[in-house]
Amino acid sequence: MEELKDRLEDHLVRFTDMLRKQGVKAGTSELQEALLALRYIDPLCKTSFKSALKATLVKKPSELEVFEKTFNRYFVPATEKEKQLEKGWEKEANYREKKKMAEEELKFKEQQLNLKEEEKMVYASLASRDREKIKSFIRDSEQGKKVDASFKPLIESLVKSTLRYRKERVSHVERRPEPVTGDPGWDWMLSSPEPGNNSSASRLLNSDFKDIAEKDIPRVVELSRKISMKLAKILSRRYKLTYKKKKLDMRKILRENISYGGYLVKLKYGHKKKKKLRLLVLGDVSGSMDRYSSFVMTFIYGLSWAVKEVECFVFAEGTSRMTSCFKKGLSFEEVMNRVMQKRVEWGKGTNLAQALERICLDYPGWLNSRTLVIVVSDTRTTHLEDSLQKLQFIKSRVKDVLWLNPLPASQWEEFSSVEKFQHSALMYPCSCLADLEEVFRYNMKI
Amino acid sequence: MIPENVSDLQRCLKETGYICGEETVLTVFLALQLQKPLLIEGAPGVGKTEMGKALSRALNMELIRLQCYEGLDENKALYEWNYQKQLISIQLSRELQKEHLSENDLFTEEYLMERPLLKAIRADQKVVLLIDEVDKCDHEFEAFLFEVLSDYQVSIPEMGTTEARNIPVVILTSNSERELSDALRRRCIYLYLDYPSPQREAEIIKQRHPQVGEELAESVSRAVEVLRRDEKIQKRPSIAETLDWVNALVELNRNELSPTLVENTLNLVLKSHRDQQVFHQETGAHKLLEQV
Repeated sequence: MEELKDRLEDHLVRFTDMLRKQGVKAGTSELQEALLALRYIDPLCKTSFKSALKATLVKKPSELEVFEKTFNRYFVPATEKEKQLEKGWEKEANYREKKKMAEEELKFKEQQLNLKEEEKMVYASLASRDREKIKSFIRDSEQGKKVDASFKPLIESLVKSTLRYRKERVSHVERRPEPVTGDPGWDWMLSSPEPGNNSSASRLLNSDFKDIAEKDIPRVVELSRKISMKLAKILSRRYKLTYKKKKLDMRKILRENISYGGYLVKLKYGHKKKKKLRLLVLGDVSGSMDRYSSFVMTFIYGLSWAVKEVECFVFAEGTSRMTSCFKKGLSFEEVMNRVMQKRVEWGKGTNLAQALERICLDYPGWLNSRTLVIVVSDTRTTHLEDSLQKLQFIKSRVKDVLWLNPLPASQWEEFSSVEKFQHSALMYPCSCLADLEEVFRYNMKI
Repeated sequence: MIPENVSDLQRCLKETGYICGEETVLTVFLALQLQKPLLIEGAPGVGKTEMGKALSRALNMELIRLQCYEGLDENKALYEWNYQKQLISIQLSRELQKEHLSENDLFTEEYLMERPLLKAIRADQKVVLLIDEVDKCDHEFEAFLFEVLSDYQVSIPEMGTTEARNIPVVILTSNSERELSDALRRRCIYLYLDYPSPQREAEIIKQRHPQVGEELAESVSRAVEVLRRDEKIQKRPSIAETLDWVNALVELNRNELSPTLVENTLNLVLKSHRDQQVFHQETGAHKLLEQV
């Protein structure tokens, strides 16, 4: 019995650790609580056991899915668990093999090309005919006169742009799951979707905008509507004034205390009238950025229900005003369609400087402490120094500048522009609806 | 008193008219056994507040309710001195030329106005303290609250520290309009309440309206479930609205749903013009009844 108890405790510690590594905030006290809770239930009854752990280890709705998934994979018979782990390891081996193949095939003058892991996997996902084309391009380049190893960066850059172009056309690029448990087998196992839960709202909430399939777009737009309307509802609520950090209002105090014979019994506080917020949105729509900007703008359309003044612009090589797409009474689908239709007018390159310049020249009235500027871009732009200067100028005049960057935070250090823009804006990784909700909740104090 | 096992608690709750799943009961049972506050989150109308009320009836304890809102402070939640009474006493002592009142005479039980939190802590019997819509109060009050909830004691500067005579059963509810702090969450046992399954909802209907036939209860609960599944509907029907709908059907002496009846009584479950429009455009009464 003692042995069984020890084993159960060991498993519980390991299980809690796994939850923790996936972002569930289960500390030692929660673990102790879970162990204590097991005293009051029959630990051999799986339903009770699961409910007891859920009640004590999970503290937020967002953690429920992680818990369910991890529990359903962890607390299974040993043989099944081994089978699942084996599958995970097979996937890992397959992934490594593909990566190795890409590394071996993409060599210039016997030296490996310096490519990112994702680029290698794009290459591995291509049809053999397309792979052959890239290989023959490298081979032909090697044959050129006076071509030596110093040409490698140029070849790398050309291969990278080919892969970037191909990536848009490949249906699926394998991605290694984020290392959370330290065991790749477990990581693959936990990253696989729950059976029968393929189109759950939470999956769509956390899906990168660029990976959302066409058929799922209406559902994502609907989810976006729900979230933004919920935030708008909270924003528009007229809260009762609190008594904190306010100045005493002597006039009001005297009036209030007349009924107490002039004794100052009740204190009254003055308050500053809150200025209404305005949103100025600048969305980058060059290349693959258009999807992110379209979703962000549709989301902001929902907020415009509470934030009366919103101005939206999209920029690539030129800038267009999009506020006209936000006509009141339109459905979210209509707004999304209008924004998406505008895509054809947008160029491929990015010039943030000219967009900022246009704001400064044509909308100087918007550059004041009531305005919150939101930039949606991956920071890759021409005229970088000019853009930085203009952004600094705008930042000094407005309430704040939020920068929604669709690049994952782990990749930020690869781009010097990210660091530079971070000096003038509060930058957040934002590639899915869940990120968007978090950023707005946090920054608008919702 | 607190039931000794989960099935007893489930029976007690059922007797009060609160029907819920085993997982929900087990979580409540653990909160009672571990003497921890129970934080209930979920969509509006799933029975969060009702759980507090049902628990007080099931455990035969007094219910003390604190409704949270922005601006709620210690004076309204914990205690306040009865200034008016203190003033009158001072005036009277002057007028009647009684002995001079000292400060200690003015800060006694006589002038203390207990608010819900203090009332729950000082209660002679164990009580159920329902802190409703805790997400509506501001951060400062939330911080104050988790101090009270972790030690079950409060300090009144003029009177000293008061410890709970009986640790109350604390239920906190939240609609997740604002993210609660991790510090508050970690002090609680957590329960997420979802809408009930059609079978359970039919059970609730039969419990509340015993005269309703099984067929009607089931078709209403399935129809409501179809409406709740429709992602385009903004305000999903709550359990209370389902019961209102059934109530109306009972009043109309109907024992089955028909397209006309659905059309005529739809405003009892869909309470915005937009949702009604969406329903008419996307589903319609005929299609709804086909799915039931």
